[in-house]
Amino acid sequence: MSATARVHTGALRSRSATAPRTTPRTTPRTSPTRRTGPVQVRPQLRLVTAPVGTPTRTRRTAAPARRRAPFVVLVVSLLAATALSLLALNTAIAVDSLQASQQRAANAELAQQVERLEQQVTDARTPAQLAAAATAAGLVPAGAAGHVVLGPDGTSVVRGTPVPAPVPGADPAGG
Amino acid sequence: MSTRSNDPSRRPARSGDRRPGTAGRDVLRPRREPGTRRARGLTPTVRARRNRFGLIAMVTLLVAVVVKLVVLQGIDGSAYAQAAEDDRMRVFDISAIRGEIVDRDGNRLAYSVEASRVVADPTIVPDPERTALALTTLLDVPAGELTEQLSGEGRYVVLAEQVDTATTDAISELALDGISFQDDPVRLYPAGVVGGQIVGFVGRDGDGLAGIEQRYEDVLAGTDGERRVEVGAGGLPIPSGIDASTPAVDGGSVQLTIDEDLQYTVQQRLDVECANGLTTRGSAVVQEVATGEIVAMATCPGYDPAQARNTDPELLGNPAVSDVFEPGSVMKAVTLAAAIEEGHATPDTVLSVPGHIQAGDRVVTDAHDHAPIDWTVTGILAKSSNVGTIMLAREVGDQRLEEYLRAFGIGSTTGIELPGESAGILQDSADWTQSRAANIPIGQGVSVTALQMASVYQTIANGGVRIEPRLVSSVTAADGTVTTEPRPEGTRVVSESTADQLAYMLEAVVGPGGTAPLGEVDGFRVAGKTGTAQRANPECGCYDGGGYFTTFVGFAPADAPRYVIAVDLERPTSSAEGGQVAAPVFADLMQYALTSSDVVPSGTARPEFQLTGTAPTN
Repeated sequence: MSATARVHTGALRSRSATAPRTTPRTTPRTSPTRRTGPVQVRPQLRLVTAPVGTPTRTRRTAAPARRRAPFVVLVVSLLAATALSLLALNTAIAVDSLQASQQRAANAELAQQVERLEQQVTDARTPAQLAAAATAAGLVPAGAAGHVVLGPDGTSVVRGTPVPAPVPGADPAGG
Repeated sequence: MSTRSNDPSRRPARSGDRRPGTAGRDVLRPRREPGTRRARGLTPTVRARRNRFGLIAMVTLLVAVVVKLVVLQGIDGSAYAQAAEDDRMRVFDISAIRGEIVDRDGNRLAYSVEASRVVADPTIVPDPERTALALTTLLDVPAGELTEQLSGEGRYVVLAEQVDTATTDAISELALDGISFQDDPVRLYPAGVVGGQIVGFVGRDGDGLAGIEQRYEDVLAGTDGERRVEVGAGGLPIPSGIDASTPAVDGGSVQLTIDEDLQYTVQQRLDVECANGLTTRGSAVVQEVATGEIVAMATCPGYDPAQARNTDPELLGNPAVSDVFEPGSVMKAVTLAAAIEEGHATPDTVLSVPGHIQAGDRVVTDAHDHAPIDWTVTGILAKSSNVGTIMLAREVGDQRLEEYLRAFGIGSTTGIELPGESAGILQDSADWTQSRAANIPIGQGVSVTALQMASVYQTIANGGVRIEPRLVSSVTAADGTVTTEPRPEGTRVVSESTADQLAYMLEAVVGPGGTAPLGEVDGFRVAGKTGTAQRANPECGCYDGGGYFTTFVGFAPADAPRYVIAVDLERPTSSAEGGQVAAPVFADLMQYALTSSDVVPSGTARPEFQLTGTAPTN
């Protein structure tokens, strides 16, 4: 691996790194002290200037860093928005649920009220209650009824043998 | 890795290698051999063994974890999930509301309302005495009793049942710990005794035990539902948690053919009879002639279905359909119908009727023994002559007579929609002894229900077509679908002319010279027949001292029959006849029934009847 390559790799890894910073780091690695053996045939590694493309690359790597900032903000704000809307939604559901329970309770209460009133009506409408109420109001059971039947010629006849109702109170056992 | 290179155990070992004598030579030597900088200082075999050991340990652990995971998730998973769910789910029963029983106009005879069972968990109740004091007036239970219950063992005690909603609301407001409510609907019978025997009653668990309540249990009961709620630690529902309800399906309602007002009048009139000290039991059945529908049916003493638990079980039946009695002379109409239909007689046929007649080993007499009288068949019926009826029955023959009796419905159930109906008792004619053959035509030795008797006269009033009595007009399911109960097909029992002749003769009974002038109804023509049958004395199994069943069965208006009414009164200590006792009850009921139905009298006069004649001398 060449030093140039190292430099580039380093630059890629640490986004804000520049070439001069990497230079001292590479120097010890290429130091001849590393190998003490007699083999000196291999040409020594030398520091070379960065290729022409380096500045552009550096610029290229720096530019996305600047452009990523809005992205991060977007993501963070999305997360925050999601969390907030979830909270709001849950709150709304809880409120709805609470209201539904309250409405249901109110509904049940009204249904019970209706039931109670209907019960009163039913109780008051039984024949025994009606008879008692009628007697209390001074009414008496009617006897045989008479029917006035009109003939085709306009004459009328009384059918049946109507009996006058007893005087109220005169015959309490009547009926 | 770094920990390994810093392992202090290696450095002393290395320095220990440097012997003091060779120290000078070691100065220029690197500490380590080149290329061994990263060496672990272990031989490859040891390293491999360690690796293998590590691998096995890791794999074993992983396998254990995976196995446990599979066991938890795969095999026991559903059980654990269920247990977890059960822990936070609470199931509340939703009781179905039992259907209503209404009369023909929709008036409620039986219905259910929501109510609650008040229950307590004594382990949660903080102060039994204080809680008991708070509840005692609301529940109407003595405080001492409540305190005892609230301090008891267990986690479930029932403090009160069928508590109305107003009371439970009041208790809820007290916010007492450990007190809760369960659905416990209450069955109400607003009319009480009126129609009680027909409607029946329900048991403690709400199942119908008598009458329509029992017969229509499937329709009325409905299906209970439940509410499954996810609850938090305090037992309160979690707002956004599971809240799944299976709604209860309420019961359907049953509409009867009963007219509540008429039913009330019938019950009132019978109660008057039962209160006179002589009548121990009295039944009345009011049937509509044209449809066979039962408009009223009652027996005194009756019972209030709401009080069924506290009522003598002997009274909890419907005697009008379940109790049989010997009808006596009212049965003579069937004998005469057979004689006329078979061509052996007409209303004007004259017979020389003696005062008594030999029947096997015994002698049957008329009510009062007399010298032979030349009665017309009308006269025989109007005077209720036993001897004349037996003479006609002998012409018909036992077998034919039995056929007619069965065709009129004697000896078989009517199929009315009530439990416990009796078929009555009618022996096969082949088994009739001579005395029985003489008794059956006059209504002794044969047993009927009041309902069967009404049905016989409905047949005559309806021109000879018998329509089985029915009590239920329609059933309405919980979803509102109405099912009209099919009306039974009429069956012709006798010809229309026979029925008309019988109706004519039956009018004579109420007319001058008949046995039941008290059966007359002001303004209307009435046809009917009295009956006075000996009642078997339950103490000796004989007729001696058993008293009488007095009956009157009839219909009106005779010229266009609207209602049939059968009245029978059991009078064990009286010898009064049906014409004196049962006929007035009939007249009062018929009067009310016709007047309340706005039946206009036809205005035609009752025909003249020929009760006696000149018997052909042959």
